[in-house]
Amino acid sequence: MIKIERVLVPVDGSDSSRNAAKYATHLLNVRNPVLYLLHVYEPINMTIGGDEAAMLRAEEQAKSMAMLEDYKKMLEPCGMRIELIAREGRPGYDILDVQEEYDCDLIVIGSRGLSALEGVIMGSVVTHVLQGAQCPVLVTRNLRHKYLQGACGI
Amino acid sequence: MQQRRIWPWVAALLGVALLGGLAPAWAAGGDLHHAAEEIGKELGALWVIPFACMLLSIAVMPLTVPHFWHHHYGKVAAFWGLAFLVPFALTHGFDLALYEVVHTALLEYIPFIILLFSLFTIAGGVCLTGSLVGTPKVNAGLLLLGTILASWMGTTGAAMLLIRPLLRAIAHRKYKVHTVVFFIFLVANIGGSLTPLGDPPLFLGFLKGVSFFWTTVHLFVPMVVLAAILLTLYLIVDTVLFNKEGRPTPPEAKGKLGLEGTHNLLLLGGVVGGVLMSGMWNPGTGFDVYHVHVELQNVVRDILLLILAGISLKTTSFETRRKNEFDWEPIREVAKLFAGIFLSMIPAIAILRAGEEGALRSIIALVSENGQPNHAMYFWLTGVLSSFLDNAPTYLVFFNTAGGDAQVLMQEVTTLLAISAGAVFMGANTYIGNAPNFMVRSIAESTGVKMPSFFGYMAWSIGILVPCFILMTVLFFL
Repeated sequence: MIKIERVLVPVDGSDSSRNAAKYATHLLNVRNPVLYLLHVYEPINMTIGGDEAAMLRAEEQAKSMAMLEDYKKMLEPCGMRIELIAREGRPGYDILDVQEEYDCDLIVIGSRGLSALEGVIMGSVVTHVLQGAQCPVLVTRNLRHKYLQGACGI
Repeated sequence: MQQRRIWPWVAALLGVALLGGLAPAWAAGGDLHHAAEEIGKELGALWVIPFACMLLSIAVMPLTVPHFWHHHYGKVAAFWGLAFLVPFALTHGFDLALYEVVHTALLEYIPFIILLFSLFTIAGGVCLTGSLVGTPKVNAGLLLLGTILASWMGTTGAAMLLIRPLLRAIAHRKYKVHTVVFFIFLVANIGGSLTPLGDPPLFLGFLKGVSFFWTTVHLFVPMVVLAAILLTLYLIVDTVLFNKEGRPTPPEAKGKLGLEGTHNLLLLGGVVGGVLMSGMWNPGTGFDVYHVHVELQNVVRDILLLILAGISLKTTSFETRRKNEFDWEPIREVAKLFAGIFLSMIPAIAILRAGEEGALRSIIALVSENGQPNHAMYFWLTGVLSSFLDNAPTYLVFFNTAGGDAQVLMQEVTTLLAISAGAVFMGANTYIGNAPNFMVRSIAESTGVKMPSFFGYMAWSIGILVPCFILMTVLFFL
C-alpha cells in the first residue's frame, strides 16, 4: 500500500482552500505525516528592483506567512507536523516546484473555478498542476459538510 | 488558487470595438485627417507635460514610492493618458480627440504590442537546458550568441532565452555582476540594432515607413565595432576575475546541453516573414475606422503574428514553459505602461512634426545648424533621453523632429542612423532605458546575484559605454 506521508496543500485565503486543507488532514495515513501549506504571492513589478524590490518582497513574504499561520492554527488540533512555505511567482509553476523539492506524495488543491471564457484564455492553476504533476492530485470544490467533519475535530 | 481576472480586459476590448462601430455615426464630417496634421502648430508646449510626467513616473516612482507603484502603475499610466485626452477633447472637440486615439491605437500601439507579444510568446517557448561551465570564453560565447540573436528574436526574446543558462553557467563564480551588466549592454540592447524585430524603436520606424533591411545595412558597421569593443573588454575583465578566483570549476555537471521547443525557431522565422511581407507587399487596399486608413498588409501581418503566437502556445510543452518560468506578467506590464505612453505622446509628436512652426522649435534648433541636421546632437540627444525615458517613444520623437518622412530620412542616411543608433545603443545606459534591462536585473536578483543599484549600474555604463559612444560619434556622426 502506498503510504501518504507528505501532502502539499496550496492555499490562497479562500474558503475553498481552507476546506481543501481540512480535508487533506483525513488523507495522511502514516505515523508521522507532514502537511506542507504553500502560498504563492504575485511577483514584484519588474520596474522595481534593488533594495525597493527586496523591501516589497519581504513584506509580501511576511503577509503570506501570516496567512499561513492562520491555516496552521486552524489545523493545530490535528497534532501533525505542518510546514509553511511562501514563494514569489506563478502558482502553476511553484506548486510543481515545491512538490518536487519536498517529494510530496499528494497535492490537494481547492478549486474556485474560472468561467468558461477565462478558462479558455488563461487556463487555471489547477489545469497547470494537473498537466505537470508527477504525483496524484486531488481537486476539491464545494465540499459538503460531511467531508469536513471529523478532520481532527476541527 | 487565485487567478487574475480578465474581465476588465475583455470589457476594454469590447469598449474599443463598440467605439469603432459607433464612431462613423458620430463623425460630423470635415477633414479630421487634415485637422490632425495641422494641430501641432496650434498646441503649446504645456501639452507635453502629461507625456513627460508619464515617462518620469516610470523612472522615478519605482524608486520613490515602490508600494504605490507596485499596486497602481496601471492607473498611473491611465491617469497621464487621460491628463492629455480629457483637456484635449474639451478644447479641440471630441471628434478630433477620438480620431487621434483611434489613429494611435490602430496604426501604432496595437501593431507594436502584437509584435512584442508574439516575440515574447514564441521566444519564451525555446529553452536552453543543461549547464555550461562559465569560463570567460564560454561566457563571451553566450554574449556573442545573444548579440547575434537579438536582432532576429528581439532583445527581449534573446535576453529571456539566454539569461538563465548564463546565470546557471556562472553560478559557481564569485564575480558575477560584470557578466550580467555586459549581457544587458550587448544582448538586451546593442545586439537588437539590425532589424525592426530587434528593438521596439526600430519597429516603430518600420511602421513609419523605414524599410526592413535599412538598419541591417546601415547599422551593421557601427554595431559590429561597438560589439567587438565590448566583447573584447568583457573577455579581458572576466579572464582577470576568473584567474583572481583561482579558475574555479563547478561542483558537478548539471545535465546535458540541449535545446527544447526548437519548432519555435521556425515560428520566429514566420514572424520575420510576416513583418517583411507587410513592408514589401502593397495591395493598395484596406479599410477605414473613423477616418483612419488601415492598410490590408498590416492587418494581415498582425493576424499572422497572433496565429504564430497561438501555435507556439498550443504546441510548446508545459514543461518547457515552466523551465523558462514563462509568465504573462512582463507583457501585461509593458502593455499597460505603453498604453499611457502612446496616448500622452500624441501632442509631443504632433508639435515636433510641426517643426519650426511648433512650440518645441527650441529642440529642433538644438539638432540643426543653419538648417542642416547636426548628426552628433541627434545621436546624443536621442541617446541620453533614451537612457532615462523609454527608447521607443524617444526614437519616435526625434524621428518626427527630423521631419518624419521615412523616404527622405533613409536617403539622407546619417540623421536616421544617428537617431537609430542613439535609441538602441544608449538604451543600455540605465536599467529603465529598455524593457529587457529590468527583466534581466529582476531574474538575476531572483537567483541571488547582488545587482548594482540604479546609480551603481550607471557607474558601469558611464565608465564603459560612454567612452565607446564618444568613439562612435567620432567615427560615424561628425
